[in-house]
Amino acid sequence: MTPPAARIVRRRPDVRVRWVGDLGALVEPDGTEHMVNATALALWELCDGKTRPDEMIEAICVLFDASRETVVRDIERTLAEFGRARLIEWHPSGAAPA
Amino acid sequence: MGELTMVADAVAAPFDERPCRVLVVDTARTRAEALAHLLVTRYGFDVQGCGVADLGSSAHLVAATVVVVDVQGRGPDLHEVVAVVRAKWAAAQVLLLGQSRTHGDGTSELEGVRSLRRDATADEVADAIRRAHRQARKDRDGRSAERSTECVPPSPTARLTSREMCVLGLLAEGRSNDDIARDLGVTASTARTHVRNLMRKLGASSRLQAVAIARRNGVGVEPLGGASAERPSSAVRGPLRVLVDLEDPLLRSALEAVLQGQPDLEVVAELGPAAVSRIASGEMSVDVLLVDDLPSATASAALRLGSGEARTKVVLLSDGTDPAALMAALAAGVNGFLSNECGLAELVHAVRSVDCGRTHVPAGMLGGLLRVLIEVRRHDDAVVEQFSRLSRRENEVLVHLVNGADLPTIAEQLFISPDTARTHIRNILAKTEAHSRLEVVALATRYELVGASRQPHGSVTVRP
Repeated sequence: MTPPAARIVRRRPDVRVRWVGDLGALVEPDGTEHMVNATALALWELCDGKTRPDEMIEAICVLFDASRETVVRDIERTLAEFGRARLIEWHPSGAAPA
Repeated sequence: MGELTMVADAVAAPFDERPCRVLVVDTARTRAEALAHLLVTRYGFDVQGCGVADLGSSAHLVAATVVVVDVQGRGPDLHEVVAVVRAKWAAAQVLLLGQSRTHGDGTSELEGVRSLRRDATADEVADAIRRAHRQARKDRDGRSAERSTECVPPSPTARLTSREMCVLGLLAEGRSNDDIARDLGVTASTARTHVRNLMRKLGASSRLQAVAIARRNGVGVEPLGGASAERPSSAVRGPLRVLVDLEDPLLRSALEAVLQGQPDLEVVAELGPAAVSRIASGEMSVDVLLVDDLPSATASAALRLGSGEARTKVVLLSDGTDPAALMAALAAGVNGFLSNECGLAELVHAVRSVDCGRTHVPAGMLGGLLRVLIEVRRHDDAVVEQFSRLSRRENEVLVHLVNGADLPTIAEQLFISPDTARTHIRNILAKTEAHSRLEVVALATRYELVGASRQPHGSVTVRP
């Protein structure tokens, strides 16, 4: 399996983001809502087919002054949950569709 | 008349058999909620606050007798806001804050609307509300009772049963109906019924909205903004000392009242040059400084004290959600950034959060900020990578350039001809994509690429 750092991730284009206060929801076309916190939603916005997971990790480490170990674990878990819900697609680095 | 007497008047001598229900509408939601909080806690009014953008929300359909409108800056047109208010609260008196064109008798250019100066004190606002309420009572007495206004209790959560409040708490934790049924030991059908009922009572169209309404009303959030799990209790460390340094005196006193009402917070009342010098000298201990402008004197004093846990943390209450302002604030060393649309719970949470060493950024700005950080990082890596292409000789020339040597000096020091030195410099500019010697020197200095081992993944710096 290709390590996540060498792959890029792209969010499903038909999923909308809805904000209510500091809470967010990823809304599928059939109306299914996935409630997420602000950091997870920011992560979702970074799933643009260009940003690598290691870049996400670095940025979050800098912003939150958190340990790399914790950030890696949280991001891996969040992306895995996005993947299980079929909200994102993984692509080999440089091969994401436009 | 002192303030204490005013409070006693308000509490002990209600001026109407009907409650004085006040709606505060402000361009900035934070100011509306803070002023509402002050009017409740200090004067005993029944008040709700909302931003202009939230005027249409069902959560704000109070049977208001007085509507306080404060529309400032680049907000919507005042006349439009007043028209909306009059359409929704036909029987209410409208009181404008901060309108410059006020007649001598207190009325404004808008017909039938009373007005107060922008710098009115809280006592003056409270007095004006009382007068407006008396007028509203007189007006109502002359009208048909059939003209009812939309009447929803000020706090929608007050109508929930204890079981529904419990369900709401579980919803806020992101639990599904099945989870809720399991946790409460009821059937899934019963859990669904509870959820449906509480949504109806809250006027929410979705579970998410129900949770948001609950949060706005403090359900499951006690004390306001959530208690800090990391900060030692106030009994051990003492209260968290907050200094509110805002230009707007009414907002300052309102937010001071909000913060002072939290059990673990203590508001530092001192302001002005004396406070600045005492903070700068470390004589006055302030844990968190809330400012609305950078650079303010107090913020600069706090930020000059260096880094580390002991340093006073600075939270900026900005007048918008400009990403450039956010980046500039973080680059200046600010620990927390709030927009004037934030709720009071978020404001209090931010104060506690930065005190624990975290960075607070509005949820909606997080994605954009991370993207900027990543772009900055990519740019930094690209610069370092370009400099890594320099040959050993080119690096030697670069060292001399950084030291300020001219072409003949470089040639002499390296025992090469001036033409060869010129060729090296041209190659350096080409490889680093710099446009001038000055630019290449600036880059090499900024990224510490001269005489140091190269680190393609050096620390990311935040730049405006």
